[in-house]
Amino acid sequence: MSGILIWAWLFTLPGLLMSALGVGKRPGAASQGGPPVMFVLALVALATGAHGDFRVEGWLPFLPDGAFHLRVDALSALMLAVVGAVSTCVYIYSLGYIPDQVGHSAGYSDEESEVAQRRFFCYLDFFVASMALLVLAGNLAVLLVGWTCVGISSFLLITFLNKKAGTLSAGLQALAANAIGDATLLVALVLVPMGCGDLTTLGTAPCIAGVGGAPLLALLIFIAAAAKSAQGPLYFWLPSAMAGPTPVSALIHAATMVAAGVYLMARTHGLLAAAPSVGQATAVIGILTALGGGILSLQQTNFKRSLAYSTVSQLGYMFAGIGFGAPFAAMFHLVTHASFKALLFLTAGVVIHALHGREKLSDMGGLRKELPGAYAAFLIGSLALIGLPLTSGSFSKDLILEAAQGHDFMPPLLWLGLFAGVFLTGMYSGRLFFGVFHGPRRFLGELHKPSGELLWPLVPLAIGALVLGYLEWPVPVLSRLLGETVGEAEAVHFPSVMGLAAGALGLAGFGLMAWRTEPAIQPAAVAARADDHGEAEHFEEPLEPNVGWSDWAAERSYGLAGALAGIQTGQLSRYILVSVLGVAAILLLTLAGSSVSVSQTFMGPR
Amino acid sequence: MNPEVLVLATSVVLLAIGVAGALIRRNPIAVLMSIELMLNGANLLLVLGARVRGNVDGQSAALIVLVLAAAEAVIGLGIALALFRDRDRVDIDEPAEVRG
Amino acid sequence: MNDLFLPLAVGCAVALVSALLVVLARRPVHAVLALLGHSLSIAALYMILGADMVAVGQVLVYAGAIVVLFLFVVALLPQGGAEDDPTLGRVLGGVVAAGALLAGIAAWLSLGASLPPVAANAGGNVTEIGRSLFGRLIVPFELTTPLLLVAIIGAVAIWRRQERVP
Repeated sequence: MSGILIWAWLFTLPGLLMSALGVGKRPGAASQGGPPVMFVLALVALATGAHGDFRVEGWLPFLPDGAFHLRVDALSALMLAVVGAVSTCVYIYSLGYIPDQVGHSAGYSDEESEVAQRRFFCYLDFFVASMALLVLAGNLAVLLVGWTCVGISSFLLITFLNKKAGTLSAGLQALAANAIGDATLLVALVLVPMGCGDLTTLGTAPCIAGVGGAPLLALLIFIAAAAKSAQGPLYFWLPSAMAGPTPVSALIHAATMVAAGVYLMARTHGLLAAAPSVGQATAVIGILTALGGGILSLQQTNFKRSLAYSTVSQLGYMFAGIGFGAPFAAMFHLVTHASFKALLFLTAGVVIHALHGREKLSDMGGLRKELPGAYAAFLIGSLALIGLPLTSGSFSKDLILEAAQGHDFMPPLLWLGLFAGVFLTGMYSGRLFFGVFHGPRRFLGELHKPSGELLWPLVPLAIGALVLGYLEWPVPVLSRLLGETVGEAEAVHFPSVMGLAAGALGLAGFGLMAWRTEPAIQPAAVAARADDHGEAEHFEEPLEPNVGWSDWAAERSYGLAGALAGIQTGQLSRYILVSVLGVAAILLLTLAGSSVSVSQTFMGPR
Repeated sequence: MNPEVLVLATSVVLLAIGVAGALIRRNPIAVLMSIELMLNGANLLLVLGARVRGNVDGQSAALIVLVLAAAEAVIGLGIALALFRDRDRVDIDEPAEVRG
Repeated sequence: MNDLFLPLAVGCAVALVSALLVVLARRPVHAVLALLGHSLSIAALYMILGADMVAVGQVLVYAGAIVVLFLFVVALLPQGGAEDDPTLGRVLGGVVAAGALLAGIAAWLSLGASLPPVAANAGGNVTEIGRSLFGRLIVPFELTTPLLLVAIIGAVAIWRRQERVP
């Protein structure tokens, strides 16, 4: 079993070749086989605890560990299962979605359209292959190859719609962030001592003895992961990446590629344990990103961008879990998040498709009667996202919250930030749900009803959003399977005060938006635009919180941002004053918590 | 008190005087000069450390800090000139274009 | 080192007084001259502490180049950049902030043991400094090169932009 699975990264190659060579009547039909095979085999491998190793020495002889090393274990099998499952749904969905994106209304001729569709499936196959290689990598060298190829395929897919404005700049942003991650991984690759390239042994004593030691290596890997997963200051590329077609957003920028950062951190959790300061930094960045993403999501006027910031926020939760020493919790959330976030994105695609390509929230509203399938799917996805108890998202999120609470290196304020983020999650989900499906119908044209190919893939994802949590409760199956790769894990406690409180908080945020969503644009204003086929979406357009609906939430957060910005008066003296007071505060605070040895290291032993 | 403590205190007080000057004065030149005072204070401490520990690295570090002070003076004065040359009031708080 | 106490005390006193003059002088030219005096007194202190080369460097760079640069700029600015009296709030703010910093540093320093006694080989000579700069401190030494390069490019860039503006 593991013998076959170790070649999983080649499974989509036949499809790629056939699309490239133009074989087959319908573009993309040939590629449909790859992902399901990957999924099934991975599932079997996971269930039977299969293990495998493949190693060819001397592949890159100039490196300390330049072997071509692939490994199958529970963690990689799990990731392959996730990639395979979501890819299967997205591949089927793309069969129904992409032809319209590159159809006559978008300015493609028949021949151009067919070429474009084949190109799309080529890129998708390339992505799945690189992602599989990344996940199967046994050492840093192979990981870097997979990592870079995933970044390249992301660029290719973001810029796929080459007749649409703004895709190239979005793609370049993604490439820039990716380059940062690649560079740090490259440096890590070079710094690792001889024979220590193996990912799982990175944290052991001989491997961290070199220049900088464990903290440097851990920091490099953390930066690479943060670049890939849009954390901290490197978040900027993910909302822009929504310029790509919706299936791409669902597969790459929600479920799999952005999760690669979390996967890498979970895989090297031993290294992180040897460098606790980097672990703390990871947790802090994760919390800040979780909150920032939530706030920014409330301000968006574009459906997909709002979901993109939601992804950034949820990835922040995963990173926080890693930082608090709970890699299993982070992986668990990765799996559940892949399911419900892909569901939300694909449903968004159904809505966008129905509105002939419109993505602006101000064009949406009152769609629940005419898109019942999408309505149900979005509801299920949202409830999982906000953590309604007994949905998959609640189990995984609660595990992270418990890990955060249990840790002792953080002041409690920071942990509460994660908790407050649950309320924000409820708010932005409710804003989307009630704004798109309830309220007055603002688009006055005829809806483009979704075909079967668009709707059927939503079903397994919805089932996953509801059911994947039961992999851990009542019987902790998943943590036992992953035990040797990500270490011991806390058991899921249900029911617990924390879990129920978080669920209630999420629901409160969600319900608040039901009451607060008000249209800011009158229906008459949209009538004039009902005849065209969707304007080109400009992703660099300035945010206009007053145009569009549900500006209550946007206005509140804009007000908060404006108040905070008042600190920056532009006066140099003020800035110097704050800096000096800050330095003095740091000196006095470290004094409070230090011992004589601090000064002795400074002045020398007496 | 022994002389080392005297010099140590001097260097720290120089630093404080420089900080106070940077905050109180509105003239950009005066602010830059206050920064030079701070650098001098730090340099004095480095040289004192070299003497007391018998290690000449402190003096080499002081030389490097000297280079840094020169570079910083050049850029600071260049910016100050470019910014204030054509204005009526030479007040460091007046150009507030970097407002948040 | 106790026989050096008197020279050190004098040097420190001059340094402190001239520093106060820099900060308190009304007219910018006076402040620059005070800075000149301050630089020279610091150079004297370095000499007393046995750092001959640093003292020479201080005179050459600080008194010789930096102060001259300041004088040029004072000449070019309107009124040399003279300013009004500072408000009470501003003075208070500056004194409090400086005092806080002073307190922080003093508290931090007082934590440790008192200064070790002066080591035997306390005087530096050029050979020793050379060994140190090209040995342990090679990296900072090499980094000063791009630093100076950036400063030169920056200074030129600032003025090119000035000339382009009509």
